[in-house]
Amino acid sequence: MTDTAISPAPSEAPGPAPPPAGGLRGPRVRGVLLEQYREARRRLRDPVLAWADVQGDPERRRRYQRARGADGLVPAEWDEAVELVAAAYVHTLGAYGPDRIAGLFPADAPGARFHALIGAPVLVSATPSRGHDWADAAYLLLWGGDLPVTRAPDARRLARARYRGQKVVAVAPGDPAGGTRLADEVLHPHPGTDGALALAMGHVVLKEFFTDRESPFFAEHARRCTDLPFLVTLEERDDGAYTPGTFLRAADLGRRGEDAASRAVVLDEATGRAAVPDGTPEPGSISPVLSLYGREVSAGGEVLLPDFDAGGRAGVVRRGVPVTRLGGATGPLVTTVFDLLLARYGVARPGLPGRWPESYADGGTPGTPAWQETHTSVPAAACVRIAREFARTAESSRGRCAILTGAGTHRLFHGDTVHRAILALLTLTGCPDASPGPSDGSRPVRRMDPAAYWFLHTGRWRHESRTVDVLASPLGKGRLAGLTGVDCLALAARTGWAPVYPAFDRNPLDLGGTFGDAVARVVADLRAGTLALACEDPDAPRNWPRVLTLSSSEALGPVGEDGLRSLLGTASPTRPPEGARPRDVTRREPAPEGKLDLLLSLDGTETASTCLADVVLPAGCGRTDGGRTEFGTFMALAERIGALAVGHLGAREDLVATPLPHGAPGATAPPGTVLDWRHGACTPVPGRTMPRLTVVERDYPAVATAFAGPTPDAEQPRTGLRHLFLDHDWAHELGESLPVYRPPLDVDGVLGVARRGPGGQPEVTVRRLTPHEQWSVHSAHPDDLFLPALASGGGYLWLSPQDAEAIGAADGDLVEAVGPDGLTVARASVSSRMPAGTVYTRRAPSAGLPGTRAVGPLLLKPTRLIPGHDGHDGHDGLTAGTGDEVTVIRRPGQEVE
Amino acid sequence: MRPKARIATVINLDTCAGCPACTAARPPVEAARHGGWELTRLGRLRLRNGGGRLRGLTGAFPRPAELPPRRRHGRPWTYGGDDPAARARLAFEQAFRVSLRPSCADCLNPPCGETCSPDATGCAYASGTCVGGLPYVGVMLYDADKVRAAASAAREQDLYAAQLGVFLDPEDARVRVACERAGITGDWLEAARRSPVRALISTYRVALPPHPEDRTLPMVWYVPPLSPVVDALAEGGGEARSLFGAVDTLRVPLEQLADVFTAGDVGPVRAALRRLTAMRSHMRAVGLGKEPDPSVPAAVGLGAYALEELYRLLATAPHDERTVVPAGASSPVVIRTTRTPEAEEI
Repeated sequence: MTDTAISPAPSEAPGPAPPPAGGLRGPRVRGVLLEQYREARRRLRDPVLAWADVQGDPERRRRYQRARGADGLVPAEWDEAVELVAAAYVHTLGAYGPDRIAGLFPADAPGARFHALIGAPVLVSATPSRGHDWADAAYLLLWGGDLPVTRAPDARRLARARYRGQKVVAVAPGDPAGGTRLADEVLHPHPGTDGALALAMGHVVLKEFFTDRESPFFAEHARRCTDLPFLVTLEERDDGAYTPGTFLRAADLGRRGEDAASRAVVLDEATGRAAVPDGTPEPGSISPVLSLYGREVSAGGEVLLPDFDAGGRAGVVRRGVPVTRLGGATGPLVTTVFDLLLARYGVARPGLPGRWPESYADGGTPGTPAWQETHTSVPAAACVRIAREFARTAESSRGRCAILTGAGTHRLFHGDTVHRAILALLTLTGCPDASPGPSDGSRPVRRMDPAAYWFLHTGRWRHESRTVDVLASPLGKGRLAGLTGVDCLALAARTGWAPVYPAFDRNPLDLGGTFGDAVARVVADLRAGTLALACEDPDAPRNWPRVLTLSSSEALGPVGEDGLRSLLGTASPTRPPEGARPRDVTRREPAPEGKLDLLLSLDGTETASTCLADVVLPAGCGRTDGGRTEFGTFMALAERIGALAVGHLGAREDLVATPLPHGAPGATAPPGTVLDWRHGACTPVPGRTMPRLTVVERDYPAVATAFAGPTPDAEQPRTGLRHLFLDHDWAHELGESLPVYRPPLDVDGVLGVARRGPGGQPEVTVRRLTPHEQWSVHSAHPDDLFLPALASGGGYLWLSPQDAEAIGAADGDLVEAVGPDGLTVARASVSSRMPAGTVYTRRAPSAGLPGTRAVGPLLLKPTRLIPGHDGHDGHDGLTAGTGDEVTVIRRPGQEVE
Repeated sequence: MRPKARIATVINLDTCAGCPACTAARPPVEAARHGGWELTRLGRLRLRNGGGRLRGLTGAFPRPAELPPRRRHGRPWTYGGDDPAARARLAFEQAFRVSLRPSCADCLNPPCGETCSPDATGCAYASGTCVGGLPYVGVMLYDADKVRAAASAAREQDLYAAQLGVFLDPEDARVRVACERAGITGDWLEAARRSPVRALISTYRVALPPHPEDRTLPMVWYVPPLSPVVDALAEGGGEARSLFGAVDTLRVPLEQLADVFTAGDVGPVRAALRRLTAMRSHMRAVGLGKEPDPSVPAAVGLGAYALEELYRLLATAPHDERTVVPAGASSPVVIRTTRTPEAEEI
């Protein structure tokens, strides 16, 4: 074998070219499209008709779609480019509806507000901050993010916050240590294991600030602002043990009233009886009991809790909780969320049965700092110290701590679980959790999890090889049996748990504009079957998304080749669909190609998405490249759309479907039972068993005026309590109703197991990391040899000495990596800097293209679709999980062909 | 005394995002490095790379020590096993790039043939595209008579102090008289008094010159980074440790910074970092509404007011306090000349 299998040495094929000085100066448009548009515009003398004309001809449409990803972007005049984009928006609004347009933006960006105004779904690309306003926080955990690269202006704020005395601790899993240079301390958990670290930190907080000594500030916050004092029913099993059931609700005690089914019950300290709090943080007449410890009626029940870390196989831990019966011997057996949480985190109290850790140093029992060290490699002492410092600062400053999360955690398959464990730290320590969202005053905003968008519209779901019940807890009841991820998505959309757009298979402007009661009409049509949800047949052309606007260059990274073909129509190879057929969703053959009419990219520099885009407008990053801010760009677009809308759209009524209102005042424990009206479990009632439907007036000609008007407060008001117990069927089924650690995805339990390959050579299954797509495209590091080396590192596969030894490879040998995307041959680069069980390769075969070889997870995690129950709607813009790829490495067969 | 004014720059490495905007705006100094000056046995200065001045027309600031070792590109580099020193060095290179770029540093004693005009209208300086913290730009007064002696200090470690000694204090009445006599106008003097660069270099002494051992007396200085503490030390976890970690345990070892900024003398680097850390402790107490501990500023030889002023300058000062240049100097004038006024006397 020769070196021809290796791509050219990086010195010959350097990383992405540095951006032209000063970034992109003017708009650029795909040449083929511009030519066609100009021709039609000359002929028809109307931009919107011209755009419609190009789109109406399949041949012309496919011609420019195939050119995506290739060269051929030509400079255009600003006015012409904006007119073309505005024409596409106006045409799409009229012909398909606002929910066929989508924009991927940070929640507080001008683009998010613009899309909210016209009724287009906002794919929230980043949750800016968690906890106290981070720049003003006294203690900051920088968890999995890389501020200097992803948010340069914020890096400056961070440096200043440090000068003001903020302590910054970076938790840097996986990614190169970009953000860590701004931190006072750095913890390096193994990629994907952050959840264990967060859990162990929570263990320390619960032990030292709740049980050993009760911190008055934390306890008061827990009583008033969280679900910790809520009573939870226990279900008895055959073996005498219990499993946590659901919240005890007012209706269970025989209370009546409209919201009795959605209000939780606490035990009142003063009276010793059950009481129903009203869900407001103001001190009322009720003083809830946090724990039943010392008040239990019997010796305490043993609860079974799922445990996913026992050698890769799901197990069960038994731990005692204090329990009591309400209303005599036949009443429901209950405990509090707080007691369950202590059991979950393994915080022992004397006298309770079950298996508990003896001390922090007990590495064999889940929950302890020593236990997390076995998973994360972060020293137990460091974990304890940081947790202590965090909680002490929160206590003395009354909640001035913050956690800034980033792609390092979001992109994991179990990123939502990691995220919940991190949020639990804030909730326990009384730090506020304010996450801004796109806002349009009081009107409902369509927003969607980008992971769901990619999963549905790039056809990722066609390749699901399993049903989602492989993720179930050993204590599950089979509630997800036989469902694929896309079934879950459709079910979540039907029942109103998750927002999925496009919503219906018709234009919502037509649905909203019907005579009479539009909402009643839609419900009747749904029951009659004459109207369907778009996500139940996502490949039908009437259900395609048509326009997508991106402002972050790494956005298309997790999409993959198939996705690009499906979404953009690029000339990429296709794969046949895989085994698991969805139950409720139509799979059409052949797979559709080129769903999007327009891909608009707002970028200051040449990036991976600019080369796929149809139109590139210079903007972004808060900088003023080309003299225009992002706000200015959208202002110009709004003005032009307003002008074109006069003849083509006018003012319309838009029927907006939004998820169930979970933050309703007083609804402290909304029901979490999944009732599917499609299969006859109930009748569709908007806002109860199906999405909430609202008719919203859209005055398109006046859109610029509205956009220029005062920005409504982007901070979403917190209306509900903060929940640590997620009372939802799917969370129970997956064993994630409480914060829990789930190791990196390893469905088959194969990670790290040495086997024999097809040629008899030893092989080992490892986690494969790739540089975050940003590393390969951002401009901040052209001079830092480390990062271009990682991002474009030629045919090298970096692996640990242990893994190299396991497969018998030495530094410089050729090795094969077999993953879901095929086989790659690369040179082994053995480095003690790599942790065992993890290899690092670059993602893209050529610089400048997004991760064309990469496929994301083949499973959609159902818990990503259910709302957080914590006051805001819980869809935090978790990005698709791409951090958990598994690959098999081995030496190539020795025979030379 | 022969006072001259020069526009100097201070770059804060904590806020520097590593973008090349500031250095791109300066006259480029191409790859072949000049190597600076060295002292002959007779105590005279000569170009280190020899071959006369003309060969040294171009140069570059970073010395190979600052760049990642260029071994096989795309390959990891190791420093041999688990030796703590090797790991620390690795951590330095992994976590923090001290980005001292090859560009003109407005040296007072330039070895290259190009220099800014001696009457110091300053180099072109466009910082508008800087993505990190904007650099500090301001006037420094210096005594041209002392340049040669300062550049010829016997010990390399003394060069930092020697260069500090070259600078003149605009508050000093004698200096003001001398300036007026030398034709330095009132607005230049006023700018020198308000100079943020002078505050960071001379008053608070948190800025340091790159590679003083080159004897070039550069006028682009750097505030060293408060980089993370060493991972290994995090394992210790003693309760008595201060919240921000001791300066001596920073992840970028003091010795590394001293190699870059003070020819290996850790004293001034340690002092600068201690002042920055004291500022953080003091401001934390203020921010949390606690009574600041007066021993904190006292330990670094500053007062509480000075620490708060330093914080203001580093964190919240508006642009017109970070860049203070006289009106006449706003237009970039670079006079390229083949002679170096200070060097020719040698």
